[in-house]
Amino acid sequence: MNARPGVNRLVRRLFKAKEAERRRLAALPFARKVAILRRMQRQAAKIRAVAVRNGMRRRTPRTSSRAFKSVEGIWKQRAPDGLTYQRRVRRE
Amino acid sequence: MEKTLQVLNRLERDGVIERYAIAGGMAAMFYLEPILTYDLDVFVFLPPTPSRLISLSPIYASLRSAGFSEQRGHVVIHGNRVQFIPAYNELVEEAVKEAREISYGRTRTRVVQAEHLMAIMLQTGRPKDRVRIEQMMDQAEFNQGKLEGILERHGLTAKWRSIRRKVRP
Repeated sequence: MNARPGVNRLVRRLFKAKEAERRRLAALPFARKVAILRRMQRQAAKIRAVAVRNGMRRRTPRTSSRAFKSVEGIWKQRAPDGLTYQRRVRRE
Repeated sequence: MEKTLQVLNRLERDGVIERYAIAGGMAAMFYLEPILTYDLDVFVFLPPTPSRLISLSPIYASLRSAGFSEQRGHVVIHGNRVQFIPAYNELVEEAVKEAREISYGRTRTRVVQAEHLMAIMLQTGRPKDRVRIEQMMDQAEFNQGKLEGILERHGLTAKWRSIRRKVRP
């Protein structure tokens, strides 16, 4: 049972809005999409730079995940001994 | 990007490549919302050589002499990492032959058609290809009959049915 009536409707509306936005972006001219891609690449490079500065190396940046920058993200990164920090702390 | 495409057109005019078509993530982006990709994959037909061996050396040599550098299997052309992929099977050959002519600014270029792109993704079958097929089904305009014909011709129908069941049960 949903504790808050109307939440499902709200979520459905949000998904629909997101879908509509995706379709709008898909319909943009190719050159415009390439310009957006350039912005995405710059953003990804910044995230990668932060990660490298923090000693977390990844071959490809995970721009879609906030976890990469957040504390939980670090928690799930691998420590130099190959274990995730989470497991390592548990072991200790 | 436009300058990069002009360089590709020049390669074709000079006979270094016979024909090219944009494929991969960049082609997917032509039909979809912008997706993060770092290179420009280009399917190419190479001119026949006496040894009948496929070699990308003439492309690299030509681009090197024009001042472009190589970087891990790619050539950096005006800031874009371009990967040249010789048409490696009948499906890809068909995709290059029937690629769609488009304009990018004032430059003419070719992009693999949506239906061929979907079939190639299906054939390649990496996790990211499966995700893109799903996106293509949702966002791209494609001709179902044409896609089915391509899948049939290249023995991909069963694979398509199985992926469709997973995406839209």
